[in-house]
Amino acid sequence: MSQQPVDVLIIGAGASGAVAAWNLVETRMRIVCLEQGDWVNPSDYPSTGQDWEARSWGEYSVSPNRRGRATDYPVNDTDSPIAVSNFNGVGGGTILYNGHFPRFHPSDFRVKTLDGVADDWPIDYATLAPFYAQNDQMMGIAGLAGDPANPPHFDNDVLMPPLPLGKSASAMARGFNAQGWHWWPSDAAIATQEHDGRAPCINLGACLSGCAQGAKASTDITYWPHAMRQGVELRTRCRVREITLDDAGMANGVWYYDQDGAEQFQQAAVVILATNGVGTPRLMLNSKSERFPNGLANSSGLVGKNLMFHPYAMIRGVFPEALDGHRGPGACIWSQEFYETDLSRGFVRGFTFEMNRGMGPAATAMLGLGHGRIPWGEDFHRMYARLHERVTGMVAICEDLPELHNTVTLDDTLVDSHGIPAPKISYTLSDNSRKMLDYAMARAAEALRAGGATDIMSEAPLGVGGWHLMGTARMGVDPAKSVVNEWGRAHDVKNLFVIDGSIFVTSAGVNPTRTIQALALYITDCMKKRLANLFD
Amino acid sequence: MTNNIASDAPFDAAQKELVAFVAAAMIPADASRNMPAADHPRILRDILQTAVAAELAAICAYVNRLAHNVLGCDFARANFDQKNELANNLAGSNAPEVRGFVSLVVQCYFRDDRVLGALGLEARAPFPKGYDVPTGEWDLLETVKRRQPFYRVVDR
Ligand SMILES: Cc1cc2nc3c(=O)[nH]c(=O)nc-3n(C[C@H](O)[C@H](O)[C@H](O)COP(=O)(O)OP(=O)(O)OC[C@H]3O[C@@H](n4cnc5c(N)ncnc54)[C@H](O)[C@@H]3O)c2cc1C
Repeated sequence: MSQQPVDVLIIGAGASGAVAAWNLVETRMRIVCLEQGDWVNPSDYPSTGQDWEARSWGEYSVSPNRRGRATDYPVNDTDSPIAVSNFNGVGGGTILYNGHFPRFHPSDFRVKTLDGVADDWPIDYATLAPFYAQNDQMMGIAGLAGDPANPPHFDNDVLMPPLPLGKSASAMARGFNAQGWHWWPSDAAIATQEHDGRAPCINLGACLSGCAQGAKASTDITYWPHAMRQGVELRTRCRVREITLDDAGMANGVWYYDQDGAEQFQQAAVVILATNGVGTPRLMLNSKSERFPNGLANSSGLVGKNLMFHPYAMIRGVFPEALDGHRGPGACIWSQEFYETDLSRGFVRGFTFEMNRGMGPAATAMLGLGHGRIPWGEDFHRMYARLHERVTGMVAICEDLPELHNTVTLDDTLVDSHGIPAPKISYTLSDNSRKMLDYAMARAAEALRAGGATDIMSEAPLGVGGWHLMGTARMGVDPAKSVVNEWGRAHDVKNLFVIDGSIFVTSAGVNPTRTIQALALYITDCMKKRLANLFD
Repeated sequence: MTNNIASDAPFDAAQKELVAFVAAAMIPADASRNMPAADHPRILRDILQTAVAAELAAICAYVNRLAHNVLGCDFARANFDQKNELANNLAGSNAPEVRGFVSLVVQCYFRDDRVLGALGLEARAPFPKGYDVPTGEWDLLETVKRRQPFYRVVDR
């Protein structure tokens, strides 16, 4: 069946798709977004039940393979030490994200020039700065101006008061102070006062399985209501199989499966891919044609290559006194003491420490059992009591450099419920990343002990931590070395745009979503400015 | 809640006995802390109702395989000491079947009203009441505020 043609077709209603819909709506073009998942009802989130921990490991698991919803697609990540995490629904990954909301540093756009590795971006921090600011307004940011690790970036009218330090972050701050190291209240996409109709945070503590209070800025409650009120049509349970081309080599629409499983064709004048760093290469590689036998817009051969994750280290300390337990959002403070390159550390580039507060009783027990601190049997309760509400710690988010052999390809046998080939991940941890993880674990342990921790538990790389998906359709000015140009348009197909994490040239050492959204605003702004000659 | 194990659960008596034994071997009762064992009827019922049939079948099969290797008989035929020997084996195991079962037992145990109460936690959903978190020691930030900017400045 064929649908009425549209001007702009956005695929994916996550962090970046929502931004594009909202930013383009003022053009009065007919805009449709196809999203494979559903709207999530906040009253369904795990934190509305006493069994919230169990549900966050099951139907709200960060792993699509574990969740296994009809709206998910399977991912073959057996060839990777890090498994893909995501959420497939309106809001995309922001439904489950923690709301840590750092910006890139200016140096992150000049990696080659400054450190001789990877590539420089074709744009710089100054280009994105106004779009970061616009996005901050839409998402609603809590934080504190004056962080010496970052350029000044807050207007007073944008910023909400920072999240509470509580006992956990205070303990860690003492440790960082004792070491003479930087820390600062995190920029968080979590409302601490009423913002754009959203209620302030009430410390539910289950941010990673959706915010029932609506304080956390997921795009289903930030951008989407505004975009839809102004006329964007969002069709859920619509999974795109492939993007098609006309004889002139322009994208002319997509084949998708609607909520009843029926095959539909949606004609479009412009196609925007916002399906994330795994979904986008999957869709491009599955869109083969005579012109592009190796996948759409893939003359460079780089679609699906250079996958970057951010290897994570998780470091937790046990304190002698009770802290916050599971109460309060994970986001609280960060340290960028080790962010910029210092070769004397034994690796290039750097990482951010993000403190993560505590955990619920079931997670505490699993941590203790997993690290040999809680035995089975008689001593279970005594040893559990030593950990109960006394654990806090941090993650280190290590910059991952692009490497051609880290890839998303199409699996030969695994398919989703519509028979579309599943993505296969092949990823190895680089020597530089391994050294960075080891260094980060050692420093974190020092800070935790200095803050009073008596026992340390670490893990790296974090196996479940493939939640930042970047680099698989990188941007650049040279069509031989990149998939999209410096404003997100495919070099090979002049009405095809990519706006999600795929277009990252490098990953920086921070969570990516604020930058993904700033890029989506920037690209759609470029489109608006060029409407008369968009395809030249 | 009744003290009966749900009769409509798709598990036979031998499977239920095995599950109860392993759960209690992992988390026994501790009267001094007012903590029930994980085979307390209410918790066991939760475990059996929550379990995906395939997961429980897998742990039962795994334990029976182990029993054959270690004891040369089925779990059901083992005596109390032999069962404890098996439990010790399981405690050190990293097999996916065991990890899955441990996670299941822990999930069900730590959402039980009595367990939460004994830990000093309110037995309730986080939403809508939420929690208080103290503002914390903001004066700790004063030293950091005095620090000069240290991000790399980059030419355009
Ligand atoms: C557990 C977790 C914690 C995280 N924490 C943080 C954090 O604290 N800070 C941070 O910055 N980032 C965090 N992230 C990452 C953040 O969620 C992502 O960076 C962000 O959502 C990516 O945006 P995107 O637009 O690229 O893709 P997504 O938000 O993933 O959206 C892609 C959308 O496309 C849809 N889609 C895919 N394929 C198709 C298809 N074929 N047809 C139709 N629809 C399709 C998907 O269903 C999905 O809704 C976290 C992620 C997870 C999973």
